[in-house]
Amino acid sequence: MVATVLDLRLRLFRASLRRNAAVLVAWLLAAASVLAMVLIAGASFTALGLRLVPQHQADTGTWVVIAGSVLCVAWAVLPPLLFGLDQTLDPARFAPFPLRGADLAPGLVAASFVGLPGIATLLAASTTVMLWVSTPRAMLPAFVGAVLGTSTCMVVGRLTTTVLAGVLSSRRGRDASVVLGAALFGGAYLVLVSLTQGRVLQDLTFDPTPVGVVLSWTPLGAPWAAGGAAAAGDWLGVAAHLGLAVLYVLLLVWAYGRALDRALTAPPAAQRGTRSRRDAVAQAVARTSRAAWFPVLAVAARARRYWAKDPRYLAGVPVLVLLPLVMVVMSRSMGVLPGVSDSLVHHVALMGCEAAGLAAGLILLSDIGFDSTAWWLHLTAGVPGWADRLGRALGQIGWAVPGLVVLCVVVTVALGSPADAPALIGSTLCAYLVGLGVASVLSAVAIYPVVLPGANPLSSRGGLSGLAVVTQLGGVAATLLLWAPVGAAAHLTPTSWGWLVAGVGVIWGVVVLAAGVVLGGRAVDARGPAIMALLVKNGSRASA
Amino acid sequence: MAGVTAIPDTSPPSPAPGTPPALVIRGLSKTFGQVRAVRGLDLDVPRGSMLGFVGPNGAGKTTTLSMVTGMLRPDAGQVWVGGVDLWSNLTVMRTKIGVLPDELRLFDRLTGQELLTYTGMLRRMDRAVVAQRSAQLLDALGLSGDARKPVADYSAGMTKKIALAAAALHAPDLLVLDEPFEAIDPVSARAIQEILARYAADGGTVILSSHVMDTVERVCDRVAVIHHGQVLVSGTLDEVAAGQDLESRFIELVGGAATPAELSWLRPSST
Repeated sequence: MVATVLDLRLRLFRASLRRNAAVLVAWLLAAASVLAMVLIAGASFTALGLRLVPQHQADTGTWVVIAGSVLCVAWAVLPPLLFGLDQTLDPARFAPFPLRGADLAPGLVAASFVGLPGIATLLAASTTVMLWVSTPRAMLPAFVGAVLGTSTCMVVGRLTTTVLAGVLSSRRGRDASVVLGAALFGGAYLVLVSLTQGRVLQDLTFDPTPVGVVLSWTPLGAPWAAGGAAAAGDWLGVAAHLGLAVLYVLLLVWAYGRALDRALTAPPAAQRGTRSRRDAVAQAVARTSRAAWFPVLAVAARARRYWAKDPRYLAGVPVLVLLPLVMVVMSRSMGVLPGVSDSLVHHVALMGCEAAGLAAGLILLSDIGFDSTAWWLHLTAGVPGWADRLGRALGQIGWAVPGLVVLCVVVTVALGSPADAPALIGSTLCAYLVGLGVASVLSAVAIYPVVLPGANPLSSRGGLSGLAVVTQLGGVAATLLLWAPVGAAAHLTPTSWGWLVAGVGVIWGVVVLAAGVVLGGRAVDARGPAIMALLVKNGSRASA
Repeated sequence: MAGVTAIPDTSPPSPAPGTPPALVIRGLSKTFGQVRAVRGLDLDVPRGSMLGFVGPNGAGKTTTLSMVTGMLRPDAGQVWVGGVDLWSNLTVMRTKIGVLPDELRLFDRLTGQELLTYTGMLRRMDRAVVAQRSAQLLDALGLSGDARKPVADYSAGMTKKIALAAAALHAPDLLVLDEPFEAIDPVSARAIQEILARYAADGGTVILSSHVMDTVERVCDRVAVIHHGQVLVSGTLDEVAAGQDLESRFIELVGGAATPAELSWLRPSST
C-alpha cells in the first residue's frame, strides 16, 4: 500500500509539472532556494561543530532538542493555520475504495516526504548532524534522530490538518475553535507584551537545560536528543531516546489512521443538521427602494452568509490576527540590535495592524474563485460588474472595519500609546479599503484555482500556480504603493495630527475603492464569459 | 393535477404570423484545444414549441446550450433570440432567457427561498413579484417544506427543482434547460411537465436536453438530434421519428450500439 500511494504521488507530481511550464519553473526556483538554504545551514553547522560545539556540548544538545521541538510544533500548527497542506492525495478521494485508515496512513505519511516541504525539512534536519563533526561517534545517532524527527513532523502535520478539518466542518466545532483561538491569541499577546514591555527578557538569565530535558522525553524532542546523548557517551540515553522516538512515531501514525477513518466516513464536505433560516437576502434588500441597489445588497448579504458559514473564508482569518502579533515580536527582536531607536521599534510594532488591514482587503482576490461555477447565476442574470464588485466589498466591510478598529485600539493600548490610535486606525482602514479596491480590479482579471466549495478548507490549492503567486504579489505591491502616502503620514506626522490622518486615510481609501469598483466592474462586464470559462476549468476536480 | 398552482400569466402573447422564430442558430462553432466540440451547428426553433435536444454523450449539447445562453462565447456563428442577435445585445437578451445549467454549482449555502430571492434581486425584479412567484414556484415544485433549509442539504432532484424555479422566476421568452428531468421523481416530473406545457401554450419556448427518449417523446413536440457537434436532423417529433419509436430512430441516426464485448465474467462472483 505504501508503494502504491508513493507511486500515485509521483505520477501526479510528474503530470502537474508536464501540464504547465510555469509550475515547473516555480518548482525549480523553490527547489534551488531550498538547496541553497540547506548548503548554507550545512556550512554554518559545520563551522559551529568545529569551533564552538566542543566547548559547549551539553548546551548544544539542549538547543538541538529545543529547535527540533519548535520545528515539530511549526509543522503541527502552521499548515492548518497558514498554508494549508498539499492535498494532492486528499484522503477523501480514497473514500470509495475498501481501505481502512490504518492501510492508508503510512502511505500518506511516506508521500509527505516526496513534496518539497518534506524534502526541505529532511535535508535541513540532516544538516544538524554536522554540529557533532568533532565527536564523530555522535553523528550516526544524530542522523537517525533527524530522520525520526522529520517523520514526526510529517505525521503531526497531517494529523492536525485532518483533525482540524473535521472540527471546522461542524458548526459547533467552528464556533468553539474560534473562541479557543481568540483566547489563545489573546493570552499570547498579553504574555508577550508584558514580557517585552517590562524588559523581563533582558534581565532574565535564562537557563534552557530543564526545558531541554523535559522536551527530550516528549514526542516533540525525543528524536533530537540522540546526538547530544551520544556525544556525552550516554549510550543508554541514546537507545532510550531513539526507542521512544520510534514508539511515538508509530503511535502518531496509528492516531492518524484513526483520524483518517473518521474523515473517510464523514468527509468535511458533508454539512448537515443546519436549522432553518429566515430569508437574509430579502431582509438585506428591504433597506432600499432603488432597484439598481438590489443586486449590490443581495450580493453583500450572500457574502455575509458565506463569511459566517463557509470554512474556506474562516480559514483566512487567523492570519489577520497573527500578523500584528508577529510584528510586535519582530519589533522587539529588532530592538536588541545596536543603532535601532525605540521609536522605530514602536512604529514597526504598530505596522502589524496595517498589514492585517491590507491582508483583509486582499482576501477579496479569491472571492470569484470561491464562488466557483455558481457564478453562472451572476452572469446569466446580467448583474452589472460594479454591483458584483461593490456587493462583495460591502459584505466584508461590515465585520472587517469594526474588527480592524478594535485591533488598532487593542494594540496601541497594549503598547502603552493610546494616543497613536487615531492615526493608526486611519492608516489601517486606508490599507484595508485600498486593498479591497485593488482586489476588485485584479480578481476580475486573474482567475486562479482556489479551494473548491465543500472541499477541505485546509488543503492548499494553486499554491504552485504561477498566476496565484503573481496576482497576490501584484496585489500587495499595488496596495502598498497606493497606501504609502497615508502610511507615511501616519508614522511621520506628530501624534496631534492623528484625527486629520484618520480622516484623510479613510477618504483616500474610499476613493480608491470606488475607482476599483468602477474599473473592476468594467472588466467583469467585458470579460464575463471568459471568467466563466476559467471558473469551469478550475472547477473540475481534475485540475486540482 | 393536484398540488400544481398556476404560474402568473406573464409570458409573451401568442405568436402572430410573421413574428421571428424564438431561436435561430447559424454556423455555431466552438473548439477547446484540440477538441472541436461544436462544428458549424444550425438550428431553428419556432416560438411556442418545446424542443428536445438529444445526442450521445460528448455530442456538444451542453457546449451549444452554453453559447445559446450567453455563458460561453462562440468561436464563430450567430445566435438570434426572438430575432435579436444574442452576442451583440447580451445585456438586454439576458432578461429574455431563463437558464438551467447542468453540472454547475449553486450558491448552496443560501436556503432554497433565499436562492430564489437572490436570483430575483440580481435581476432587479420587483420585490413583491419575486416573493409571490417564488412562493408559487416552491409550492408547485413541492419544495415549500424545505424552503428554509440550505440548498447544500438538498437531494440531487430537489437541487434541480430549485434551479428550475430560479430559471423561470423572471418569466423569460426562452427557457434553456440542460437535463431538467435528471434525478427528478415521477411526481415532480409530471408537475414540471405541466408547468412547461402551459408556458409553451402561452407562447413561451423551451429547449431541453435529455438522454431519455421516452421523456422527450412525452414532453416535447420537436426534436433535434446532435452528433459530433452538428445537428443531424431536426423537426417535429413525427418527422424525426419517421415511423419508428424515437429511441430506435436515435440509435439508428447516431450509428447504433457497438456489439457488446464478451463480458461473461460480469455476474455475481461466489468468492
